[in-house]
Amino acid sequence: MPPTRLRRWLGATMLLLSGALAHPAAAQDSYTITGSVQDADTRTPLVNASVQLRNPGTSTAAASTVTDAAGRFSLRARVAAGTYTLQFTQIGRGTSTRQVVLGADREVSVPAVALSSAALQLEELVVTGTGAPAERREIGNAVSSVSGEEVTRAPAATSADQALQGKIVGAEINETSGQPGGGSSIRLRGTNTILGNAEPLIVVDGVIVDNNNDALIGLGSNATRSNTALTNRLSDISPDEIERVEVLKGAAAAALYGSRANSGVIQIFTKRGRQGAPQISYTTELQAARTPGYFPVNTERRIGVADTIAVRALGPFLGRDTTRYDYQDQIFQTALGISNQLSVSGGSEGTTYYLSGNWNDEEGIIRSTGYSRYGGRAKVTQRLSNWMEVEAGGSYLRTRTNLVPEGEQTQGILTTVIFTPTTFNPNQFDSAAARLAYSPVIGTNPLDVIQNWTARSDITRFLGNVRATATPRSNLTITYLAGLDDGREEDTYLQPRFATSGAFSGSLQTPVRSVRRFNNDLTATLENSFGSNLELSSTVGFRYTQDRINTIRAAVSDLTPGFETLVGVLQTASQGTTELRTVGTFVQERLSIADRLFLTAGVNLEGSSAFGEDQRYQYFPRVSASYVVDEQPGFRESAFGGVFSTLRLRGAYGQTGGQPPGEYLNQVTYTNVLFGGRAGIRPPTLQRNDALKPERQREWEFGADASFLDDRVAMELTYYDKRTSDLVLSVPLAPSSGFSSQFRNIGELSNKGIELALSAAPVQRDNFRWNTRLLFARNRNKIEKLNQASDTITFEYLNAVIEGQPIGVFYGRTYPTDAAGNRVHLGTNRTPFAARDTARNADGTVRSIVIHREILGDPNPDFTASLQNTFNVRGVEVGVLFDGRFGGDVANFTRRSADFFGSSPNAGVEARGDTINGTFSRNAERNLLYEEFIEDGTFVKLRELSVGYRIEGDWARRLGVDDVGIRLAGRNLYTWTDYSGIDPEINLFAASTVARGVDFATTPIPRTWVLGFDFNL
Amino acid sequence: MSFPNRSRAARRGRRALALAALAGATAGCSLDLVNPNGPKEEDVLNNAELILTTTAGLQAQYADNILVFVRASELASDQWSTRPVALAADVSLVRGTPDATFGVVADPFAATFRISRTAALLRQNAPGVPGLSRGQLTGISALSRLIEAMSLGHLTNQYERMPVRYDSAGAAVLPRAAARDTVIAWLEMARAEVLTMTPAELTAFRTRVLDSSAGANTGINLPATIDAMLARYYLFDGRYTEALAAAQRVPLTGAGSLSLLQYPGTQMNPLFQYMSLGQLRYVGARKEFFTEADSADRRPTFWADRVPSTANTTTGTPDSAFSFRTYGGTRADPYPVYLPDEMRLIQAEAYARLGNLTEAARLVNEVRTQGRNLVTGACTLNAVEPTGCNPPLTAEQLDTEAEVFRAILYERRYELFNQGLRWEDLRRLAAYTTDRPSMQFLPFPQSECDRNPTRPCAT
Repeated sequence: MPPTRLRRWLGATMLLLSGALAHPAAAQDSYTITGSVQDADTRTPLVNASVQLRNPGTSTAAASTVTDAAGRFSLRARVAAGTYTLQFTQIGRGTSTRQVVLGADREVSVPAVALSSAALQLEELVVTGTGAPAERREIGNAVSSVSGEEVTRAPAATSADQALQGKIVGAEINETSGQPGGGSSIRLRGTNTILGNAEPLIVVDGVIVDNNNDALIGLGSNATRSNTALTNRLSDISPDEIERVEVLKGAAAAALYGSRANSGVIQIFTKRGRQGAPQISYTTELQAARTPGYFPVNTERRIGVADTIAVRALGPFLGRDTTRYDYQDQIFQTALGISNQLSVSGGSEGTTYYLSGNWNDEEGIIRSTGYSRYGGRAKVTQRLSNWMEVEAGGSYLRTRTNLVPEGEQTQGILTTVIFTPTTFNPNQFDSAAARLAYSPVIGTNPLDVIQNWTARSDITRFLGNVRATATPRSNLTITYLAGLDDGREEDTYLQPRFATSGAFSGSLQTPVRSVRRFNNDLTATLENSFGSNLELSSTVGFRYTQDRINTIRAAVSDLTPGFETLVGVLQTASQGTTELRTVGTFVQERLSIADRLFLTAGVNLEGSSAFGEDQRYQYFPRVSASYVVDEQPGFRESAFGGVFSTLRLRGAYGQTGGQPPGEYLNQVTYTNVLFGGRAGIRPPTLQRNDALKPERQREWEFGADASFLDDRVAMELTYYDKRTSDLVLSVPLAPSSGFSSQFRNIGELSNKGIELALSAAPVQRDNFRWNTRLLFARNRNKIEKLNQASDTITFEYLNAVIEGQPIGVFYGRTYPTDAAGNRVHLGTNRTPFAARDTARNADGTVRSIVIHREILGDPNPDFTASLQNTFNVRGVEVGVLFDGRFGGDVANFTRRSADFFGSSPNAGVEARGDTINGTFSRNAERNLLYEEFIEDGTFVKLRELSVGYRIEGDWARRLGVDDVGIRLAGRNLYTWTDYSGIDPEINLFAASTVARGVDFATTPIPRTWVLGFDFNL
Repeated sequence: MSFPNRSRAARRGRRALALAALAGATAGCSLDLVNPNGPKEEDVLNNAELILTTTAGLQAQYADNILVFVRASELASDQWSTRPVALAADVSLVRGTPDATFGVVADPFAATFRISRTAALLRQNAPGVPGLSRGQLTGISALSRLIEAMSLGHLTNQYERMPVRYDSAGAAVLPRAAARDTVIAWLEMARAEVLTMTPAELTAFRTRVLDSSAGANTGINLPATIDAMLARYYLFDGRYTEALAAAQRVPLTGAGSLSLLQYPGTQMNPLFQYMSLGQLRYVGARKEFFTEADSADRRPTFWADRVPSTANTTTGTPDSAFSFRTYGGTRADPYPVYLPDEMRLIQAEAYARLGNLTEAARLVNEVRTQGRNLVTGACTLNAVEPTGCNPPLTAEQLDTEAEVFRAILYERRYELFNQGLRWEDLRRLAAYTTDRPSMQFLPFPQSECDRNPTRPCAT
């Protein structure tokens, strides 16, 4: 009985808590420890270095703080007298410790501590899913983290996900369209679902936020297909506000996020204030972006069949000269942009605050497109008493994105370029229609779309949280967190009257989606020592989440010119509301033995409103072990000690879940229909399933972290084996069943891989510093089980799910061959290839048809790698980041359509008579031969390049500031690839789970240059 | 009583409050959420109002699927063609090369058996629902049988074998002739039920469920449609006496001469939608529909628009295709479930089969010359019915069986465009024409082979 089970859990939780309260405490006094931290090389103060007071002989912290802008810290602790260890860490630098004796003197000052730049990040604090932070060395799973500095420094990154590209090992972050507003797709250790959402869970300051990618208006892929939006909601978070990002890549790490963590978790922590005088900083950036290339078009002067098929009137002029038009310079533009960010932070005794505002305004590389964002954020922390602290944070933002249709949308601007032979002059005035000429193939004139259409997305969003942290005893921390993400997206898609043809009366869609996500967490952590060598950290928690999405759609036709609101003949008015609730409770125990062996075990019990009645509550366990070998007595003296500066071995196992692809699949609800204007309803075609449960992932992971040569070289190596079973699949039923399908927990897939992060600081001199980091990740995805072994589930055009194959392989028709293996051609002139074999009887009727379909390629990369180098030469900082995907295929549908409709240079080949007419143009058979259009999409991008210099001292003071930074940087400046299209990174289907690697008239990712200044006051 | 314990009491009070808050939070998180986007099945099947609404929905399930029901027949015969941007599956119907996995092959099955399931749910549950009148119960039963029979009837025109009713556990597959017998049996059951309804009950059922407008021929005319379908399938089944009798029961003018499915407001005529999907026009009337008509015949332009003439220059297959005009030319166009001249032509064919060529010839000429003033030759066109305005055929032109059947085939082609009957006509009257469909039948759908637990394709 689930409720009883839940109650039992709560009871156990209470017992544990009461045990904690009964624990006797030694006499405690209040101490204040002060000091400063500086860079070992330059002796400049280090801001934001972590300072921890360690309990004697343990790894637990009695108190912690961070340094202020002057590198100073003041640490207050209520502890018993004794000898303690102070530990100093900063991301990207080594660790340092100091012994401190706390006795009669309540005010203790320690000498300045120097931290040297090191490649290591082994000792930092991480937040491990939920509950209390832990040191990286204590946990058995890999956690990738990226500092806010790295995120902020990423040039021209409008959104956080762009800023993370190439910085997280095991994360494949692709920009899917070059339209403004940031559309990207993230895969952590491969794709872990088939029908579910493969994008990771996004958590900002402990609040699970919306990362919806359902399109309200279809601008990329066709509305009849799974409609993924060109942009995603992670772009709402300004990179400048991020202090830190942590990534949990699989079940071994994310079990405490339970039934939504199958695709991993990205935890974002926003900036907070520090005690001290107000710090004002202002950053401004100017940017300019261009498309990396144009589509190749037919420039042959003679009229060919491609032209005469599109424009019949040209028929008699076949072979004669004509004028050709390449109007791509009227479509693309040099996109200018500006972004500004102002923040004020500081704090006094017991209070810290951080206030910021940002303003972004940028053009897109396609004319008429652009993106603007206005946002403000505040975070205030108040210490209420010596055992209680409250933090309140909130951010509000508004964005407006102006987009244009692209891809499969027949009105797409680039689609028109691809679909229309170049005899078409879009600037020509059609005097009969009294407007710009219609494209002979598509109808829509691309310049008219730029000038007169509106495709706009307006977002208003509030993210807020309140956190109360109580430490009634020094070893007990109770945290309550309430978080809210309340957002609204209002879109407008206006296609004016006559836009597509003389008969078109116009169309206006104005859908609105409101999303409210609320979560409520209560966590208690108790730390206990048993003797000097044994420590137990116990965490119990309770989590409740509630998501509600309300979508209202309305559309009219027969527009009245001049109106951008709904005036006309109603075409659609509809509403959809979904709600999802989860409730969970978890217990986790972490045992620390002699401060070098750490064992963790936990279990999460979670229920979801989307699970079938018979499967309401689910367990998600985890265990992990971490062994810090270098702490082993005798290690330093051993042979290993001579090789390794540090060495840690770790292993973890965990389970997570994935929500079913619909909130209400456990119910049968009738659908509305209309009959002759009369309201009707009909039964759903989906058969219900009472046994529907979450998709379940089980992950094993093993790894080693080591550093060498005095921490100058560090390595993290991880092997993982993820198996996700109970995948929800739509099992098609026989048409005669009266149903279309039923969702069942039936599939299984695996992701196995290795991740390697190598970092080094080869040169560390005053005048020259060089840091380098290589990330390498290899993932092998395999579909282990489907409903039937013979099943092929095709998504969109070609991406298929086939047992024994990686997810989303391209599966399509190949050249038919005869017994000798030669390609079979159709027809006497041997031009069009036959995409199928049709056997006919003597009377011409068809006997049998054989369509050859084969696996043609795999969009999943064999491996991803990135190489980052930073140089500091006499204060000039140079950063170079290369980011590559190796071995993934791309389906070049841009080329396919350009050949078929005759806009490509191949149409010119035909027009010149270098091949038989119909080889490319309107060759319906070749058009089906997808084999022809699969290409290797391997690429390496010069993702980031930056040169910066910071002016301090007199020069800066003369400007009235503490320091000024100047930076010239670029993003995606160059791509090395053999791919024949413009950009192999884009995807027509954006963040779609399975349909990936399809290039179809999608806006290429721009090359962007940035000039930036930042001032600190 | 003194107050030394006040602070303790206050603390206890605070604790109680905290516990209450926790309890409140827990109570607020019930995981039993009800889908707010529609009524639950349990509610629908126990509520008179919702049962009647489902009955309206059943008609919509038919009306929204007319494209699926007639598409293969029109494309495989010489009625429709595809346009240059058409879907490969549609082109395959024109060429006679559809794959058993294609949607165009499985769609009619899926539509029919979903209709069958709704019809069965209604017939099973309606009798137990309080608040439904006897007339409503009889009407629901008869209407659900009629719609089931009409859907299955379309299948019998397109496949050699098929299940006759939905069955989630595995439907049995019957040969076409047996399925057509089932269609006729259901129609006769529906007819018997309707005959028990009083005129008042019938009128009440019509206004409540069948038709929401005032038009004489809007919506499904229950008795007339049952008779029209009986006439159609008795004819196909070779039971000419019954076909003749049923056809004669259908009024040729006034109420009941037509049953027009309506697509007002946001609804859209599915034929129009497919013919005019944005700029991508998938299908249209085939060029030969115009070129093979008699020169004076006004019916081709009743059904389709022979402009723009440029479309005519397209060569090869897929052929040129012209936009539909009546009953598919605009989004709100109604769709006729049957046409009065189908009843005349059924009678003509039945008479001819039964040996009465004179009566058959009279009916053929009646259809052929409709709208024509036989004295002046002037033509009066009709907005709801195709009018041939042809000069009559002479007695010598219709004095052999072959001539009569050839004439009937011609008349049916131009009277019954978009009705999904041409394919069946070309097979039934194959001896009297050289026109051949691109294939004889649709292949048995692969999805039905693979997923029907009775393994209907196992050999």
